[in-house]
Amino acid sequence: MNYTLKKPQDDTKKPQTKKRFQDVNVSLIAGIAIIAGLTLLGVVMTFWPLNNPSLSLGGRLEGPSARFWLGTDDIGRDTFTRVAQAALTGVAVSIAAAAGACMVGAVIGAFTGYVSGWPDKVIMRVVDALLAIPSILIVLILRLVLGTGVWQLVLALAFLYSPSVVRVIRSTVLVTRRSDFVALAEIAGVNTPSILLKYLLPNSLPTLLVQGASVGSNAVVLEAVLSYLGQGIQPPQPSAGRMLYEYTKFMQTSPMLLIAPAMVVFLLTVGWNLTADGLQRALLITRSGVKK
Amino acid sequence: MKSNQLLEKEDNKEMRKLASGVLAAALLSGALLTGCSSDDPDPAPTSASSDATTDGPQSGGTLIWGSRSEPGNGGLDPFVAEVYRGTAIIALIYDTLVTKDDNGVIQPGIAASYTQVDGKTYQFTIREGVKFGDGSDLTVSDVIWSFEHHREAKGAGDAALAKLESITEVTPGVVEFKFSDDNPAFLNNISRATGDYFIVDQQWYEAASENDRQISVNGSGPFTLEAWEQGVELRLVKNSYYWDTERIHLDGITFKITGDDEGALLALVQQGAVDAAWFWGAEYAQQAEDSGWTRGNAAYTSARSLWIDPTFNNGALSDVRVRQAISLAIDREQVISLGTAGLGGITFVTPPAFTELAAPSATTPNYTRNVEQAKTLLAEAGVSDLEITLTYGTNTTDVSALEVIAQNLADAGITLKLNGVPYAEVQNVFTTGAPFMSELIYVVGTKAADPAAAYTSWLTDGGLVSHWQNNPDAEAAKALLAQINVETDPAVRIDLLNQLNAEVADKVLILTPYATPLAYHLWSSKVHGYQTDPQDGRVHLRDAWIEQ
Amino acid sequence: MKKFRAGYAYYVAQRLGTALLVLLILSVVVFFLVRLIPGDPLAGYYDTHGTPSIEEIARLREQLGLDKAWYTQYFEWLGGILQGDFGASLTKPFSVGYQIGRRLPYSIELALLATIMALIIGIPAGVLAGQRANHLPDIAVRTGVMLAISIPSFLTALAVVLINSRTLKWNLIGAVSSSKGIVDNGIAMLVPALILALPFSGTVVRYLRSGMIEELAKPYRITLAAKGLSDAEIAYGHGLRNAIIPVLTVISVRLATLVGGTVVIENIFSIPGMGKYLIESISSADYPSIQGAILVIASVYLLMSLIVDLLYPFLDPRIKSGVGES
Repeated sequence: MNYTLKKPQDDTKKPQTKKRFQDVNVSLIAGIAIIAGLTLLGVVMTFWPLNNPSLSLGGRLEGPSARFWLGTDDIGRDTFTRVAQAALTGVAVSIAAAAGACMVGAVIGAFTGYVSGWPDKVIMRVVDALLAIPSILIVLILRLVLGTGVWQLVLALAFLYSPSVVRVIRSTVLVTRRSDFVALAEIAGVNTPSILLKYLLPNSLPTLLVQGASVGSNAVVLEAVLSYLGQGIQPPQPSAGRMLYEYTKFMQTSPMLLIAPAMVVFLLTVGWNLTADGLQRALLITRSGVKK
Repeated sequence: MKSNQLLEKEDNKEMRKLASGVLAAALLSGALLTGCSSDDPDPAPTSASSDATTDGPQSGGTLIWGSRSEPGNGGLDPFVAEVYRGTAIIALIYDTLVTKDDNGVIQPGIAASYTQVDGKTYQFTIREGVKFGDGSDLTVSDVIWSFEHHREAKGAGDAALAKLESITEVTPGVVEFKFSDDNPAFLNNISRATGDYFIVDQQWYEAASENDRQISVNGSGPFTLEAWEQGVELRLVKNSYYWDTERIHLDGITFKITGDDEGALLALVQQGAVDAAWFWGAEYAQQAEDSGWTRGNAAYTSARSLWIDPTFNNGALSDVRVRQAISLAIDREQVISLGTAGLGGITFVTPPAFTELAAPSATTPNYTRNVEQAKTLLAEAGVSDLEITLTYGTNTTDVSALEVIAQNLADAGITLKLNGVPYAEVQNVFTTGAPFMSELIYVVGTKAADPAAAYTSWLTDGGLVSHWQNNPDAEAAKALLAQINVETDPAVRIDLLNQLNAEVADKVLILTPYATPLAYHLWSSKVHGYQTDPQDGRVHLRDAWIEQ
Repeated sequence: MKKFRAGYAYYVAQRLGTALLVLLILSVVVFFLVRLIPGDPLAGYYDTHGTPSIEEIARLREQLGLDKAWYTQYFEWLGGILQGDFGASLTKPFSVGYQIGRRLPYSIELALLATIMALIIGIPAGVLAGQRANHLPDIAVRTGVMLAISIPSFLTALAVVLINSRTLKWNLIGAVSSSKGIVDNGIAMLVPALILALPFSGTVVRYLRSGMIEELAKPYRITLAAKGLSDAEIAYGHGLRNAIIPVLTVISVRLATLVGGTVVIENIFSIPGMGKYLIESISSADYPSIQGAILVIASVYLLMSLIVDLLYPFLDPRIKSGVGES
């Protein structure tokens, strides 16, 4: 889903006299809190693990106990530590993918929006073509091309989501490039890269942030889906999607093995979605405030 | 067929109930709910089901078999489809010259009887009155043509017929095979239920187009193809011309295809949408069993192997001591108990399903875990911080076992990295002889027609995955294999095979940490007369019957 | 009006031209993506114990045209498709075109069902949320939307399958086949369609809600209220009519992505649609099938966006004047 700043989502049209409950950006706070919480948990469990997550310390499919808070998996490894580390993997992959997509997308989007003419036409048709292929298919193919591994996955996800960023950034740049300060800069002889970097991109930053958060949420789901299809992160690197894939067979015997990673995926997507929503709201309000 | 339609009708009713339920919920309408409940009382047309049980086989009915796979490339063409998932179905449609019973003894098939004149000569008396599915007669010339065409199609890769000199009809109805050298594995090779030495109607085959041979059939076996909807189901019906028709009780078998996701297959079992199924994963098999199904007593037909390229990466594994250290570090008991849910066994290169061969014992070299000795061997070889990679296809059900092996090796100071790649890449290695992408490659073995066949591709110098050409460690094993390929005395041959197994274990030319069944066969209480056969051939579907 | 007609003709020509250009680029992208996959494209052709000779491999490569230059291969492939021939599958005895023909209808039916359900759920919820913005119903709907959008469909599907296997034992999986009619297959796909519809309906609600807020803030509302129309009449009779337009775009795009984007759901429920076909083709490295499937899925997507683009001026009179601007 692409967020654009054009659509007023909320009660911004109403006169804002006093701070009401709605004005506290619950979404943003909750979203960031969830992601930060999962990150913290993941970091703690990576550097000070409860149990070594790569060793068969317990028996097969043990239930929750004082030592293994969520029990053990089929080869006796601690589920809690593994799930916590998987959460960190999820956070890291989604942030890296979002950052990558935003960087590539912003540069190309700003360039094509500013330069326009035939490069713009060519780039946008390629973007259209890429957007026409369902995302999962592109990533599946890219995984075959690039091979398996976390970095390859991030690369594939970044590539996948850059076209949508290109589109959004291009549209904001199309607006700002008509503004006076760009015209002034052009008259003053400032070169194109500087105009892009100093004037156009900073103005697209709010849009970029919102888009980035929504890319993050999509990346989490896609990573999980890919891993669920056996094409994502490979063992022994813990990944929530991979755990879902491997543990589906224990769906009926040890459901905790599935519920825990499912919760991680769920919390991560909720976290990113709330952040995206909250950012959009916060930035809209400030923007409208600035305009007034 | 009747019961199949019935079942579908009932399914539809279920779905309608579900649909109306959903609609009702959406519209919050009470009227629809009552409409649904009036539909509810089941007329139960299957009233005879309870009293007609243990009185012996009932005839009729269609058995629905849930399967994750269906014939792949080559479809149902008996000369092209070498893939197990194809031959497993072809075996129900086409006959072989001779068959193998569950004890490994050769039995008549299309040949009513056979004699082995000497090591190089076999004679078969062709059964009379056998017809193909279209009603035409199976003739001696069909038999001769089938084998000759097989050799043409397979060329050098033809295991049974490589040394063939001639096939002739010596007296009416008797076919003689003559070989240039002793061919002790001949009967084993041509009797395999899921092999590819089927008897085919020459006229039909030559008249059909390449594509028609793959999607239509004309066999002399008990069943014939009714319809194949790729990715959904494949329906077989009884061949009315089958020669041993007394034996067949079922009117048909429908294979319901789910694809690689065995969770879907388990759901089919638990929904009661299938009567029998086979699972690759032990975990699913156990859950199906827990829901009241019978699990066949499957032999361990699949040796899970780690193939070694001793020349890879400057020859890290060319030193026999390093390989021995790896084998010694593996805790086979733990791999089996954790990695296979306990449904596995210790194995040589030849899986335990070859019951005629000796099983690994406490004295088998490098099989009993000894981490200290492993460390000593590594030190002697001057190796420290050994890091090796194992490549596996990501579609496998065995990653847990591989992870246990990695832990085992870590105890001896060896880092084993797991490298998951799309299965097609692993397949490249043993189909086209592509170079290994790491020191070790994980391969799921199947039970070959003949035990020696398990060694051919990687131990003979011309073999596609052979990497032992210049390594002296393999010389003794190679010499043994050459002897086995021409030894005609069965007892001596078995003794040589046992020696070869032990030799390979001693020099660690391949790692075979464990074996499991290739697939677990399970069936509901309605199915009788079925059991798993040691060839993974589903041959007892010929004897099965189903309560109606 | 005449001016609009001329403008529209130009607009149609421009859109069609763009769509064809994108399709052409797409075919190149797909062709090269698939060529980039490492490994021998013939790997899937022979399986476990097939050991073809070098000559055999060379013969097969020649037969499949793999020995030719890439551009020759590309143009032959493209030429074939223009004649309706997607080539032969490397791993199955059915041609790619035949397979797509069999499987595309299931995916389209599933996508349509999901869309209808998404609308049944999404429209009332969106209107309600818009009418009662920032009040309890709105907050409840928004929470629901957040959940619907955030729970990945495949988790819902797994949970549904598990619970069904344990309790109701409805015939949810593997119930779709060609031996049934379109209606029976539709009934068999209701549950997977509902699972796909949930996040979809969340998107519908989001767009509809903001549209409704905008519409209901407009002055005509007061006029209508003064005429004595009830809130519901204003909301459904007038507000919805305008607010639904941006939603239509979203629906068309989502519908088009659903056709190929239901890979996991199709796998979990064993529905033999395009998504399942694609996964099967990818895991068996069946290049012609992968190429054909992606091209068809993407074409469906492009076709849907084209239809919406062409209809847009009629749906939203405001656009009529601006026709032609991107």
